[in-house]
Amino acid sequence: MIALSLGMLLCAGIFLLFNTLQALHRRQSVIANEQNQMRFINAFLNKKIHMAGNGSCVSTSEKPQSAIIQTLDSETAKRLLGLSIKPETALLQLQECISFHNRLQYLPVAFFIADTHRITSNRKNITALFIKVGDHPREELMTDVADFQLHVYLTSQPANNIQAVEVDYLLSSIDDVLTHPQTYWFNGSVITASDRALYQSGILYAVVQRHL
Amino acid sequence: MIEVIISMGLIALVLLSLLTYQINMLKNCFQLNLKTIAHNQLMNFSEMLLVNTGDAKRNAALFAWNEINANILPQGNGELTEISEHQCEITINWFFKKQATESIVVFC
Repeated sequence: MIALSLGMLLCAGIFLLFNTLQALHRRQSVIANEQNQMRFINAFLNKKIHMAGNGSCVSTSEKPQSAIIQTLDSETAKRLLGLSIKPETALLQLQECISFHNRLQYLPVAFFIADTHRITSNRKNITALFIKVGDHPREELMTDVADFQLHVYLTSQPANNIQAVEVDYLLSSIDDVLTHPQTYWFNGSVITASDRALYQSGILYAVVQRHL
Repeated sequence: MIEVIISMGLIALVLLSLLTYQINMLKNCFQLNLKTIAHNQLMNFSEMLLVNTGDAKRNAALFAWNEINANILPQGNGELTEISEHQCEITINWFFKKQATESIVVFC
């Protein structure tokens, strides 16, 4: 009888240990994944912002005179571009020579967060960072980007050109991997999450090389 | 019955050591994550230096950058040292279990 009770106690302990191991492993994978996403987003957007206004693939007469960088809020993006982006997030639009359909073309490239129309096991909508080149359909660049805010810094000469862009983005895990809601810092304020997902905020500051 | 308990005890020991290993891995992963954040912050400030020329603008940029550092890194703090006329060293320090530092030398 004593052996049986001891055995059951050990069994429960082993089960608990295994559960904790599994949870830790899941959390570790999420941290590694978010770190990877952060590296990608910083490298990719940094390069794009650096090259904004690069019209080397077109002659000066062909080059449109529109702003090389634009930031739009969700309502303006809907009104001007007909794009449904996540409310209270921003859209970044750059003009540059981009290799598209095996040809270098001077096109507007937009980055924004929108719904993927997919849901998690907890019935939560999955959002992603999208890239949209010209009039072509949007493409999913990175899943689980929860927020995207922009701050622009203007040049004094020539007046009011965007010289640098600060991108504040928030990554989140698809599944709830934490035992308690996380408190994190994003875009100048401390936020307590409503779910148990793991959030990671990132900042990118990039200069438009053309204005240097 | 005693054999079963002994074998279960052994399994528990193995799992316990695995748990310790996993906890250490998670800590290492977290430390690596902080290092990535610090590296990104260094790159961000090197970009800020490109547009903020002049002492007053640089000091303002450094202040704004340090405010972010303090929020995204545990006890995060950065410094800017001018090595020569157009060379600056940017250093960022943070504390997680032990003091950690990352630095780069940039054109400024």
